[in-house]
Amino acid sequence: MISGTWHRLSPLAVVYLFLRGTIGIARENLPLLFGAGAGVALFDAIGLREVALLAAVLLIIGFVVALLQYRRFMFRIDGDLLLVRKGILEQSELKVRSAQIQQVMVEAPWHLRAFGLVRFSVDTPGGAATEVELPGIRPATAEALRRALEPEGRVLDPAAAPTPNRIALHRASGIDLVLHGLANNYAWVALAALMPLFHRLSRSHEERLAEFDLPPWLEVLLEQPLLAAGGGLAAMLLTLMVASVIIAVLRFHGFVLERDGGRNMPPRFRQTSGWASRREQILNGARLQVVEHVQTPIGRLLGRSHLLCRQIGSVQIEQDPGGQLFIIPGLTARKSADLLAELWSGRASTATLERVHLHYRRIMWLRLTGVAAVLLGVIAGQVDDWRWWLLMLVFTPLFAGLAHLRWLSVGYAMRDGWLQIRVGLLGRRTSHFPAANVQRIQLRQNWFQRRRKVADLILTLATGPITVPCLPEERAWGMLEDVLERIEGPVLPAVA
Amino acid sequence: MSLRNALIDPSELAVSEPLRLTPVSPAFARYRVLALALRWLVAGAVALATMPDLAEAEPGLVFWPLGLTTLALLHLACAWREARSRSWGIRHHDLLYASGLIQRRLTVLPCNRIQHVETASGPLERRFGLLRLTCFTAGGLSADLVVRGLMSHDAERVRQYLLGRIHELDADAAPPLEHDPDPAPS
Repeated sequence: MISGTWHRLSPLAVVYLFLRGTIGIARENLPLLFGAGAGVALFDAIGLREVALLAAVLLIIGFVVALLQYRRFMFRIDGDLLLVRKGILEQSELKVRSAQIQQVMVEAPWHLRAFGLVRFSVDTPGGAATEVELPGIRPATAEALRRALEPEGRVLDPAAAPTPNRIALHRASGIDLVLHGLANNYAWVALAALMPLFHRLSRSHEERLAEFDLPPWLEVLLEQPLLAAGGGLAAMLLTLMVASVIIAVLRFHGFVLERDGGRNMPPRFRQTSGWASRREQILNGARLQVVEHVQTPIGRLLGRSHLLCRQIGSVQIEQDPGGQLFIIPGLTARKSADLLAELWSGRASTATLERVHLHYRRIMWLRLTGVAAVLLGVIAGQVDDWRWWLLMLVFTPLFAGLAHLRWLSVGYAMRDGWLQIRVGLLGRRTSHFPAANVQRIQLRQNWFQRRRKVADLILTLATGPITVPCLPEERAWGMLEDVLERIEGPVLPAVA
Repeated sequence: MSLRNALIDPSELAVSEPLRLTPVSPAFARYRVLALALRWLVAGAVALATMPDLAEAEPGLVFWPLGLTTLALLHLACAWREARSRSWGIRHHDLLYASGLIQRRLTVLPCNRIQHVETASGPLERRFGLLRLTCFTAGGLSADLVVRGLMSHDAERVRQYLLGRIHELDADAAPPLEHDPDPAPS
């Protein structure tokens, strides 16, 4: 039984804690040490043997710290509470009530899988990051913890508890994942994260590169700059696309989405995915705030989109390196509509969207041309050449087209207390949520909008603000009152 | 199942009325102008201290104090007008706050979304008898509401009212608990 007594992590977790701490320190300091050439200077100054000795001492300290972390780390279940004690110099005790848990994640990264261990973490509304993490426990312990934190697990003996109904909702095929990888910019994110390291390395190796003999084909290519630039760009794009597909396949390999939950219970959604790092995420349906249907520009061409389920305090970044977001990848239009209905227990409305006022198009066009005119004015003043202004002849119709595309992509609908708000330019992002989830409402009007009798409506949810721009004034007031009625009026019926 | 569909007296129907909000205290405009004027004075003092050196290098800079003073006066006038245009209101179910001069904003915060309420004041605000009221929600910074420009006694009364409403709403919403070992979450 997991309840009652204090439990420790698996003894093998010491190795994991040690490796994690060492890799963390190395990742933070290596670019600084070697990139700036300080490492070479250090070796020269104190000698290789001394450096090795210093490294050995640091490793021993790291191992002792990992051992102390293991000894002080304890957890137990007490009723509906998960208690975690940790800390070396400053001890802390965390208490998480099971009712507050939004998401449970059991992860088996390759370095833990080698020891037969998993990482267990829970998300609560308190913060964007994982609040409680148990690094390195047995899969059976993780399963017992998960069962104990479920509503039925608390009142019944977990051994005697009936297996909850589990229905498979979506399985992502290889084609789905390849198309998802092509449609999304996973490689760009990885590239952006590695850019500081590349920058430092390129600076330290600049001189050596200059002395390096280029192969003859590269020298011929470099003599034709346009061809070289085109080839380089194509090669970079191809590499990024391949890398993006590989990252997506590794992240979502074997993706299965299932629905748990019996009668009179809020649904729970479980997704299992990952190749090197196997991950199981369980989302509490009652804690769901917004479901976003995301169509990237390439995704629209390929006919694929993904769903993003956001809870209270959900991170606002798009590609989460830690895998915190609950993403359902590689969906066709029909499948995404079916899953939206499942996620909101059939209550979400998918009404035809209304367009915002035409003044929005004019405002967008004026903003873009205004910014471009100022920038070109500055450039023309700096280089003392008025011909820069001629570029406005190109930009003005281009911005008119962009403003029109933007206006076409923005839409909203409110029916039976459910809201859909779509934004985008070439891509589309549609947020689906019940009006009762709104935390704060703001009606905003600038001088121009007051004259034209239009207003922006900003609906702030526990995941962040969503704006419906340029609504006719009466419609904005009507929506504000409708949303208020949903928040302040009777609560929506319980999820079946 | 029988359907209840009784007639309603038309005179009892709610009539949509324009929102009538209460302007914030006139002391707030004086406080805003004084606070901004102090900032401008500090910035001006720093500029004057460095100006002689700069003026030697660039003679045109001697006209800058005039420009800066005009800009500061314009800023203070706008701040005064904006502070005078702020208003607030409290209804049974929500708290309202209107602000902004060129861009008008009306913010509505439902009482059942408020998690806790805080009042705070700086030394200059206390000098004018003002108190800031901050209402925190589950949505974090973007969903919180800061009501500025209330006199201390008004802010305290609103705080007490909101705390009472939160308590009432919590009592209405919470199901009876059989066992509550430790109410403190993480």
